[in-house]
Amino acid sequence: MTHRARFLWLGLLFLSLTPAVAPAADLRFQSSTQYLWYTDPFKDKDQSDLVQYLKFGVTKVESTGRLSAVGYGRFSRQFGGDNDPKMGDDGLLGRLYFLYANYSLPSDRGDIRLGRQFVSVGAGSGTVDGVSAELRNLGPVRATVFAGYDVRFAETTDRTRPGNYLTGVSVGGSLVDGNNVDVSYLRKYDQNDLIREMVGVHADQRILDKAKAYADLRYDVLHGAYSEFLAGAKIFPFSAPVTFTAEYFASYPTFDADTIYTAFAVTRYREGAGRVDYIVTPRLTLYGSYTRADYDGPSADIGTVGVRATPKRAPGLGLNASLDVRSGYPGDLTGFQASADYAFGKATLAAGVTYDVFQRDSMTSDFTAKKVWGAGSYEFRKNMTARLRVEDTETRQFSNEFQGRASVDLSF
Amino acid sequence: MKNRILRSILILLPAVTVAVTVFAREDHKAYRDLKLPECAECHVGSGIPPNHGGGWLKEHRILAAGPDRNCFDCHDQGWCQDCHKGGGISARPSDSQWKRDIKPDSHRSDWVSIHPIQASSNPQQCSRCHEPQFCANCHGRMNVTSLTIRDHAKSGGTQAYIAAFPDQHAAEARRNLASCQACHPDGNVCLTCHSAKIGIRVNPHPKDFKADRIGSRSNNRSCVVCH
Ligand code: HEC
Ligand code: HEC
Ligand code: HEC
Ligand code: HEC
Ligand code: HEC
Ligand code: HEC
Ligand code: HEC
Ligand code: HEC
Repeated sequence: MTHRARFLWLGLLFLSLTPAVAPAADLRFQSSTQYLWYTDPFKDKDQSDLVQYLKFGVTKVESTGRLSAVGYGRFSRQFGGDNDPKMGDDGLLGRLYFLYANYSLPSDRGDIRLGRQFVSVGAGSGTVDGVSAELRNLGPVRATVFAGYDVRFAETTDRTRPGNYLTGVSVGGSLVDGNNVDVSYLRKYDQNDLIREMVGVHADQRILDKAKAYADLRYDVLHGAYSEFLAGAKIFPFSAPVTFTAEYFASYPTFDADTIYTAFAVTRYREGAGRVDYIVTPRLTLYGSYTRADYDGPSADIGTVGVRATPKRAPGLGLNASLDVRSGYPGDLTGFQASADYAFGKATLAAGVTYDVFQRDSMTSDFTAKKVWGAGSYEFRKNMTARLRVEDTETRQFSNEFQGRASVDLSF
Repeated sequence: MKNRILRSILILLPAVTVAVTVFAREDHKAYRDLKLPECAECHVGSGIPPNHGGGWLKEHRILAAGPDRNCFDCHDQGWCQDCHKGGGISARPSDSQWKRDIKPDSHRSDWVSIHPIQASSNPQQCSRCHEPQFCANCHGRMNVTSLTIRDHAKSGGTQAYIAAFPDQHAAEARRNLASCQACHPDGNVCLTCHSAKIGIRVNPHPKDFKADRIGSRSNNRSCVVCH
């Protein structure tokens, strides 16, 4: 079945379901109509898009209230392009993020979902047109299984092809209080060929209510190699909310078996990171981190500090700022970001700046990019808000790269 | 290696199913309207590990993938898909866009020029959200001679690869293979030297290459290109 046929089939299923149950059902809609304008990076040309988003949820479909359905998608139409269908310049485009029916098992035993949905287990994640089940409170075990067509979101739409499947399973539980263990398995097919086969193992343990240690592994069965390994600890020794995190991460990037890159040698990447989070008061949060990246030879040092505040003296005001510094392979970056938002009555205002000085190893000198943006919204009615946002960036390509969007959001 | 891992899984599974006691999961639907710093009351305050901190964007994938995740007590799948896949029904004022799609904050100011630095920071990171084809589509549309590329130089109407052969090339490609794929999706430029059918036939395989396993299980999908 082609992607469109399946889309239609599912859509029709839901449409035929809705009227039968409509009187009792609780139906909620959220809609956003957006006009976006921007400079096309390929053509140095102004373009714009009209996008219609729609999200809905139906609950209380039948008397037990176990069945529900949700959906989210959009249509878009571009203006000012050169009628290049590959770029989505031409005609109406659609993208369906999810659309599924959910059946909750009695006694909180879990959920069964049918339709397009986002799925994830330790071994991998994706979007499928298919079925999934999350089972819990079945004795000590918790489990997730899913199977379906593998949906790949492309620039202009989402592609689902016959022969592309994604399936996974995860089983876990707690051995003792404060502990979690799970094992997962994932397979991905392209045109009926197996192109990825992964095993995930996760374990974490709480220690004396002061710390948590965790380890997470992705093993690539096809390549016979660890694809990713993460081990870390979070320590919160004080009664004040200060958290220290230390992590070690190693990755051996493996490729899907449908490309020749699957057969090439790669080297391991390693990183060690330390992080501190400090919630000084509910109105002031500070965080900072340092990462050492090792590319099997060259290396890089990466640091971040940031602050989030909602000052008591100015109700409605929120402030965010962060500084990122990175130096080493394969380039240097010093970036500063700050933003503020302010809510008063039915209106909000927000603005921000970004200032990035960077030099890639392949560049002959450094460059400073600057971005400023401003935004506002106004709630006309309880269920209707209008929003506007504009941004101007100085990039290596353009001295002014404008973009903006205006939207009207409804919910009912 | 694989056997050892499979064996440890087989040992783990019964342990998980037999020795386990049931611990009720804290229903978080009641806390969904709290401000993040307020979660600290319990998270840290009563000895429960904190989350949603400064490193959350990097960390959440681990908790999100467990079979007992509680993310959907507070978020819907749209919240996740919007950031992962560019949806914008609930776009925040700070969210910048790329054409019709909303993009994550990490995609800083002049992202077109900055992304190559980030692309090699953790070689698995971009593929958590992007298909390789996404990168190739854009690179393929750019004017070839306008690009600044490591180890390449403009030459006539195209780019020539100038890495000092063979040591620098081998090390760079091994370290950053995903970036080669981002511009050479089918790898045709590699075949002049790395095909087993033509040219100088330089063996590209790792030392412990599991040829039989990858070949037989994937229906020799990639092998036939070179063999
Ligand atoms: C009244 C106490 C309480 C509050 C308030 C609370 N939590 Fe929790 N939370 C818990 C407990 C207890 C657990 C661990 C037990 C479990 O797995 O459910 C938990 C677990 C979690 C988990 C699963 C992660 C893990 O380590 O297992 C997440 C995610 C989470 N909480 C997020 C939040 C967020 C975000 C907030 C604030 C918006 C919040 N919680 C507020 C008590 C609370
Ligand atoms: C108790 C409610 C609660 C639970 C449970 C919860 N979250 Fe959140 N989450 C929040 C709130 C509140 C925010 C802040 C929303 C905002 O900034 O508008 C947030 C923000 C986030 C963000 C965005 C952070 C950013 O910087 O923009 C991510 C990602 C996220 N959550 C993922 C998860 C995942 C994954 C889980 C499950 C492991 C989870 N959340 C569980 C309440 C929750
Ligand atoms: C504000 C942006 C943002 C939001 C919202 C968000 N994520 Fe993510 N997600 C990321 C980023 C960034 C990564 C890559 C992390 C890394 O490796 O550094 C990621 C990675 C992941 C991965 C790993 C994918 C893989 O296959 O390796 C999973 C699973 C995931 N997120 C689940 C969720 C879930 C579930 C939610 C919603 C509850 C969510 N995310 C919401 C930004 C986000
Ligand atoms: C959390 C998911 C996520 C991760 C991780 C992520 N991206 Fe993106 N990226 C997006 C989304 C969403 C867009 C908007 C376009 C779309 O819908 O795909 C985007 C757009 C882009 C664009 C075009 C936008 C522009 O301004 O030029 C580039 C280039 C890009 N990403 C590169 C990268 C690179 C390189 C990495 C790895 C360092 C990366 N991305 C990691 C989600 C992600
Ligand atoms: C919106 C278009 C666009 C997208 C999407 C895009 N790139 Fe790029 N990329 C560029 C441009 C333009 C350059 C050349 C930059 C320059 O000349 O300064 C480039 C260059 C690069 C380089 C080489 C730079 C150097 O210094 O050697 C790498 C590596 C790279 N991109 C990786 C990626 C990856 C990985 C993705 C997908 C996750 C991606 N790109 C997606 C536009 C894009
Ligand atoms: C930003 C895009 C980009 C990246 C990243 C990139 N290349 Fe290229 N490469 C090109 C372009 C453009 C050409 C010109 C020929 C063509 O259009 O295919 C080229 C040409 C080549 C050639 C043929 C050159 C010649 O002289 O005939 C080789 C070999 C090559 N690249 C190897 C690599 C390797 C190895 C990597 C990864 C380490 C890599 N490239 C990464 C864009 C890129
Ligand atoms: C002009 C010939 C030539 C081209 C074109 C070429 N390579 Fe190579 N490659 C070599 C040589 C020579 C070696 C070195 C072998 C050695 O050092 O043992 C090598 C080594 C490698 C290695 C390391 C192999 C190992 O066992 O360590 C990788 C990975 C690699 N190349 C990838 C690529 C990719 C990807 C492309 C295309 C984008 C490419 N090469 C294009 C000649 C080439
Ligand atoms: C990019 C091209 C390329 C791809 C893709 C490729 N090979 Fe090779 N392979 C070579 C070259 C070149 C050699 C060395 C020259 C020779 O032996 O003829 C080689 C050698 C081999 C060898 C013998 C030496 C060794 O290193 O073990 C085996 C076995 C092999 N390949 C199997 C496979 C299988 C199975 C696949 C598919 C999963 C595959 N190859 C994919 C190019 C490739």
